[in-house]
Amino acid sequence: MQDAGLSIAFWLLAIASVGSALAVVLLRNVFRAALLLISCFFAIAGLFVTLGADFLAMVQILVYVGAIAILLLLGIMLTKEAMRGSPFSRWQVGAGIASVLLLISMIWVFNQTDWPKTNTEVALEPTTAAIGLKLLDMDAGFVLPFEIASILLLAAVIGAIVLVKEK
Amino acid sequence: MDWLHWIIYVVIILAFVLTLVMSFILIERRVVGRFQLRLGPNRVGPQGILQPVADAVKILLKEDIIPSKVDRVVHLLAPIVTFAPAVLIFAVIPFQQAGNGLFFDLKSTASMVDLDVGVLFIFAISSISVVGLVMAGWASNNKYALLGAMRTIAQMVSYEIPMVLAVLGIVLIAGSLSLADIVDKQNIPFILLQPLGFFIYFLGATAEMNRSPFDLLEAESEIVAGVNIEYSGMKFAMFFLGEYAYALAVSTITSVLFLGGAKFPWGLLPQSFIWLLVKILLVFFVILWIRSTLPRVRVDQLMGFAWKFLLPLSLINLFLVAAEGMLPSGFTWPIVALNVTLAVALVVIWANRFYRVGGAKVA
Amino acid sequence: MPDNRISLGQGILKGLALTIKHFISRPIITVQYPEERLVTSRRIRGCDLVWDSERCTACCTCAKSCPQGNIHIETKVRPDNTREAVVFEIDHGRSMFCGLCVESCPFDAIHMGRSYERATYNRDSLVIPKEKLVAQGDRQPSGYFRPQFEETLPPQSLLIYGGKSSEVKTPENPPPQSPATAAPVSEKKEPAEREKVGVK
Repeated sequence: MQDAGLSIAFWLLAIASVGSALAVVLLRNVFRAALLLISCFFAIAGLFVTLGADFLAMVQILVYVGAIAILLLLGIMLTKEAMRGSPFSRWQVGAGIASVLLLISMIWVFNQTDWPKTNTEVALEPTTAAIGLKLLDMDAGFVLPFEIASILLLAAVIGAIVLVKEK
Repeated sequence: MDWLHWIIYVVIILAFVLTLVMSFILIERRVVGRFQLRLGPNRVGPQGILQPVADAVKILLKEDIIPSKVDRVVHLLAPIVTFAPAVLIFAVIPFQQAGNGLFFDLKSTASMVDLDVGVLFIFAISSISVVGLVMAGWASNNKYALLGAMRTIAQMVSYEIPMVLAVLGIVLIAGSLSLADIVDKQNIPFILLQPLGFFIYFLGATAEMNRSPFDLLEAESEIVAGVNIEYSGMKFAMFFLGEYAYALAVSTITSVLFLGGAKFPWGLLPQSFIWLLVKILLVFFVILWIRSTLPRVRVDQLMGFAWKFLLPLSLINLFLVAAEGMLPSGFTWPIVALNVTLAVALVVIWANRFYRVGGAKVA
Repeated sequence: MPDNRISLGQGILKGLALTIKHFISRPIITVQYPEERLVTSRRIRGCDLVWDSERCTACCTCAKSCPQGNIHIETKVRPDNTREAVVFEIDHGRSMFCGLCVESCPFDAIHMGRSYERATYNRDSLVIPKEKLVAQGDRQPSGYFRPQFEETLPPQSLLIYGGKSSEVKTPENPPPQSPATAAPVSEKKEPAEREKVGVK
């Protein structure tokens, strides 16, 4: 019963995310495309939930929906030619070839990788503390990448300030 | 039994949100009226308590206008996207803790679901409502609506940062993201341990829900009504209810995070959802108090306040909490005294500095 | 020099203290309209017209001066060769209350009223026949273009003249009275004033 519910949820969310992702690419109305991008982010957050990654799901909504998609929408609102569709349509053949190649290579990699199987019963435990420990543990964790990422973000913030600073 | 739990809590939350939102509308009009030395609506029913019902009937019977050049789908979806997250927030609110209560005892926390990431859930969900406002602003095909939507984006994205950072202090003290745990840990209300955090959170939340003095989103004197200018009838009512549902949500979250939720202060009386209700009304009263005192800020003042005042203070607050976390436990009252002093000193010093460098002036 | 002291924060606190003081201790200053009413200006151009049947000579000057032709008069000659208005109707629904009829009346027989409530359920009831046009109840002549009434009327009560408590009228409508007895103050003076006017 649990498994059946999970698979139903997975397939619904998968269809929703792939469908809205396709619509993002195919729609000519940029604003609607951005809104469907938000629904795609939502569906992916739902997929995280079905995998038992509650922290990631929430961060997905908080960061992608609450910040990135919103800034995207702001960008569209400030763009004069937003209603005329994509201005880069002349690249469509090359972009199509590139994305098909990327898709093929990703499918190949996914098939080749030996994924560790997770048990759903175990996966429904809270993950926040585990993620925190994993990120900041001195011995077995990812403390160096974590700190490098924060320095990168700091540099980005300072760069933004320098860019907009008045002379 | 699981299904029964969901259904009961869906009914409870809907009833809680809708009745309180209705009464908030009346309370706001009466209380703000009293602040302005008038009575407010007092005709419909005894003391005007049926005024929200009359308003609801009126607004339901109004013509639903869809302007000809709007993006119809987005235009219709926008009020729903704005209103729904406000109700969703209440899924994680603990109305009463497990254990002995004033009227009845509970085996587990009285919340629809006690999420392990409750605090994150609240902020993630409440950030969705911006999408609804942006949809309304864009789809209405109106310059005022668009301006209102862009102000909303700027405001919400800016104020979310100090707000979340202020709540992180609470999370650090409680050591948990679950709201039930946070309430459990509050032997003394966290507002005493985190006065600065409360200050930042409260101002940030006031800006998040577009209440005065941060209601630039619908500044009548400048952009007529902002995003909901093209909305009428039930769709406008959804925006209106959504605004009050957010006020309710913010009052509730403040009560739960900072004022001890369903607990009576210091446990002098057994815990009960009544105390939560009293605290919610108290917080809402303070919101109304601020609304009836302060004039609306300018856009540049708004952004300057978020980035130059609240954000540095919230970072300082986070460092302070982390430093205090290293102290051995048992120094509750000295820490309270220290924190209150530090909060007042920091706010005054930073406010003065903010003022000196011209944070409140046009660049 | 406000820039030299710690100034941010004090003002907000002062404001908050003021508003909470208002909330707790100040009385309500608005007029609770159906229950409480303020006394209107003595020269108010109210939304009705008051007709004096005794002074009217049915000369029809008011009807001629009305820009909209709202006043309908049918006259009859009495045995003593004077005239009498058989029908005297004013359509208040069309009137713009310009007061030209009042100003044009050579015998001071038509006055502006003092009432300000003209809501009805149908238009027909706005056409007022002569029986109801005379001063009665709250239909009282105002001091507009009639200084002889102005002195007798109660002074206007305004909120800015220091509260509403003493000047506020009671909610009950005064019972229908003859024009001379309606306002207690005007009761004694009005006949005398009328004499004077009549002589003139």
